[in-house]
Amino acid sequence: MSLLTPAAFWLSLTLPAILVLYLLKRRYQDQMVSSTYLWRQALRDLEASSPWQKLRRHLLLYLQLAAAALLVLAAVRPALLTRAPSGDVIVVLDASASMQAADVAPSRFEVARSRARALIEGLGRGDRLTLVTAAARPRVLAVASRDRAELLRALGEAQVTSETADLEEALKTALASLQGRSGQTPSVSAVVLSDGRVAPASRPNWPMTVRYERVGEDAGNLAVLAFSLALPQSRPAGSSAGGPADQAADQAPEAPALTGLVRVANYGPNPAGAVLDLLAGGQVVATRDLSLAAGEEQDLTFAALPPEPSYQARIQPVAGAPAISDSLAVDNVAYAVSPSADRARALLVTPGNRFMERAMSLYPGLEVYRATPDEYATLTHPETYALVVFDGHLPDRLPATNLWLINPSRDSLVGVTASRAVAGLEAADPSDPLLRYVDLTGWTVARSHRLDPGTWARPLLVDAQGPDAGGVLAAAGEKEGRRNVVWGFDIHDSDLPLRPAFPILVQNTLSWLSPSDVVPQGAIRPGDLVPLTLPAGASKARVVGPDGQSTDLRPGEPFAGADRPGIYRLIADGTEDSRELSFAVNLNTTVESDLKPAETLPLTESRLPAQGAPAPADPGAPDAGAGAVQAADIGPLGRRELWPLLALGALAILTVEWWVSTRGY
Amino acid sequence: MAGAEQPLFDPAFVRRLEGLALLTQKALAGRYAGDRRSPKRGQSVEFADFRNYVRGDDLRLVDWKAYGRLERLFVKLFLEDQDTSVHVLIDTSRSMDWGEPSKHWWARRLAGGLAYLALRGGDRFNLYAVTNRLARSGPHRGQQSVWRAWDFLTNLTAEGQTDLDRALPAFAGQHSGPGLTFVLSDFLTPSGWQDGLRTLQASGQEVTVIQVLSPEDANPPVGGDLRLIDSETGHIQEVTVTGPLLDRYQQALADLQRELRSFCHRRGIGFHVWTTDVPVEEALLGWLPGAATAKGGSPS
Repeated sequence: MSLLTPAAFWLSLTLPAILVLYLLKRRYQDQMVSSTYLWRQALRDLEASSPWQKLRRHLLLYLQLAAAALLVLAAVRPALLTRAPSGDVIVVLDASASMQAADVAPSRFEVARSRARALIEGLGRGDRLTLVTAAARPRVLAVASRDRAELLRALGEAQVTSETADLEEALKTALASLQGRSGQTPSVSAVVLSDGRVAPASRPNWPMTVRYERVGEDAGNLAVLAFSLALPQSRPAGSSAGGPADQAADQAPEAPALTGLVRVANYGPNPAGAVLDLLAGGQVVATRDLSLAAGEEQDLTFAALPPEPSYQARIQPVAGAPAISDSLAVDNVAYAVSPSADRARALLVTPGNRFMERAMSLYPGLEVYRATPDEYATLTHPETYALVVFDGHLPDRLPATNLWLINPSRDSLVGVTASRAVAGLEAADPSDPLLRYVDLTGWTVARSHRLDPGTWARPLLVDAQGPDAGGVLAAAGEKEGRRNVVWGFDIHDSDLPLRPAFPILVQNTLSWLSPSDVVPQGAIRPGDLVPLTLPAGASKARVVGPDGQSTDLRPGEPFAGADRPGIYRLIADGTEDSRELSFAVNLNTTVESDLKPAETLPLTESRLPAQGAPAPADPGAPDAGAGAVQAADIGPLGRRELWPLLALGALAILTVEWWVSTRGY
Repeated sequence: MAGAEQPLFDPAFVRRLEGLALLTQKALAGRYAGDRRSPKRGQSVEFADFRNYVRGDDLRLVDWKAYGRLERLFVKLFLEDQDTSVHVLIDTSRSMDWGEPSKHWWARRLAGGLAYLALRGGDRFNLYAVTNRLARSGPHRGQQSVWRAWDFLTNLTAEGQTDLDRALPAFAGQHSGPGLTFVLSDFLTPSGWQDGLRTLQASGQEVTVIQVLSPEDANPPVGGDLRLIDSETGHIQEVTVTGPLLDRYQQALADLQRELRSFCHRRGIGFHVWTTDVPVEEALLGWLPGAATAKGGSPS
């Protein structure tokens, strides 16, 4: 039993009001009679015949009070909660994009929120509730709270996102918060308020029952599943190692036309027609009529699009046509950024190193320029290069861009010792992305400086044996938002250039250092952490979201503010080359766009056995330890409101009161 | 009360009483004559009957004229000299001063009528105002005494309380021997009346009980939440007058009358109930039902 609007109890003031009115009205009028003898006889008979006669003298009052009391009770809306969980309860509120669907009014998320509210209000004495929203990153709103007001306030703060829900992470985070707050919790039950459109996840290793409260109906939806822009394949990927070019703006040739690829889907049970618009800078550039059968996906190609920096694909209903079933709006729009036609520029400063020139020129994403140390000294803006490689030479002042130092002669980014012989080398971490596909077997470095990587860098190559075993020969890391690689040896003192893996190593290193990694090229979904580095030459940068909100990029940290679909611009400050880099964030997932609520929650048994517990030998046997998966939809949470009954009772009492009143009792 | 405005004994009433007296005189006497046959039979002058002479009869009573015609001895029988005492006891408590017209007025008027009829009939007449004690007027005798009795009645006021159980025995102690006694009261008295009537009857009186009620007593014109004040005792009773309570009131009144009636019938006491909206003359006639039927007419 819970009261949904306990504030309405102030209406109970009507009861004393009725009483006061009754007392005011109940003024006895003096009436002289010849004798009260017969009256006393009559009253005595009456009271003797029915013991409740004294009550009956005020029958109307009691009836009115009862009616008013019932109406007040109806106003506070008592409700019976059936199967209310108890003990430590974790309520997981799915805040993923599909919960924005408006197939149930006002939206799935609001329905889930009201169910969570019912759960909070139905919380028994001694029960504790932990509230967490499940999105790309879980958000714990309340931990093990008994305070309904606090819980309701926390529930009010919950917001739906355009992200994909990570149920496992949400459950784990809630459990961790719960244990951090109250230590071991023997019995935990979790209620997942969701439409089940979540990425498949595995249960946390914790004995708990998980209940799935399904929200939403099978609703139609049109979605842009994917949108990308591509350059025509005609452009040759040539490389030139020419003279230095320190002009900031390189006059690009006429930008080529773009090709757009759009994938749309109709998840509804009925065929649907719509219009797909491509917009650039707010103007409709291309449009196409859509006619999708139920459940059909279509790929559309738009050729010869004008070279605009970014595009938006938008599904719109046909003007004048009957409304189509499209419950989710957030996936009707997708964004794409034009691929950059310009290749990043790299500068190799070397007295002469044919091996490096050759290896770097093989990298398709770079336009490599070469300079001697003397020529480098004449450059005014070396930081406009996305990457500068110093081979055997170290300028007085390092440019503010990504750097690759080869055989530095003195302390600069890292501490450097005197060059000594190397007995053998090995990878510090064979899984390092810079050493991917690189077989170090038989590699020889004659002599090398030993590096002190400090706190920002990680060792790449170390001494395998000898007196300096463990000494760092090469290191890599990010410092102040820029990526740096230091090799402590001269290439000419090694047999590296002769090894087949040398170009791979250089490719890996350039790939990691290359500015094409400033913004990721893959699909970014709302809520993803976007690994951004400072653009070349920039001392600081900020990201401007589609809503115009500007977030300063903190060096060394991924950008965490990509929480909605749209075009995000990375704006570098403090450099004359204020080239903007953009990336698009799109929903682009069937999991969220297909709105059909899942019959079962895609929670699978954890593959790892619970710690300290033997793995269940028979999967069919009931297992109290790691917990049997109980993620089936067992129906919505029952909440039976009692106010109609109470109002009916009040009406009945008022009818009786009217009858009594007319009968003159 | 309205009774104070209307004179008790106006000329119209007196005229109607005279007509009533002519109508009822014989019947009145005839009704009571047989019951009041004196042991000193034959000393009266009024002839009653003949019977055969038996030895020992007074020869002065033999009808010699009959002997002359029939040669048989008959004795003449004469009616007793009926010098009956009529007593009227009026309850003059405060509760009688109630109703429209008031019970007090109506009872006094009835008593006045009885006085007129009794004195016209040559009876002795006594009038008593009953509260907790007795106030007496009389004995009156002869038709001229009517005015004295009426004066007494006119000056009676309704005051105080009445306890019939104390007042009636006090009256019985003063009057032993035969007589007609009328008790006029509303009998709405919590202290009871049974012992009083018993003692009255035991003293040899022929008792007639007349319960006088006002229409307001029979059907109280009240409703709602009331603080009822007893006019006689000042007792206060708070009631919420509802339909069922009024039904109960009627029931209580009917119970009281049934008790009175059965009490009286068991003892041969005459019992009549009158409400004050009935003219007193009609009550006098109704009390003497034989008159109306015997003479074939009813006074208006």
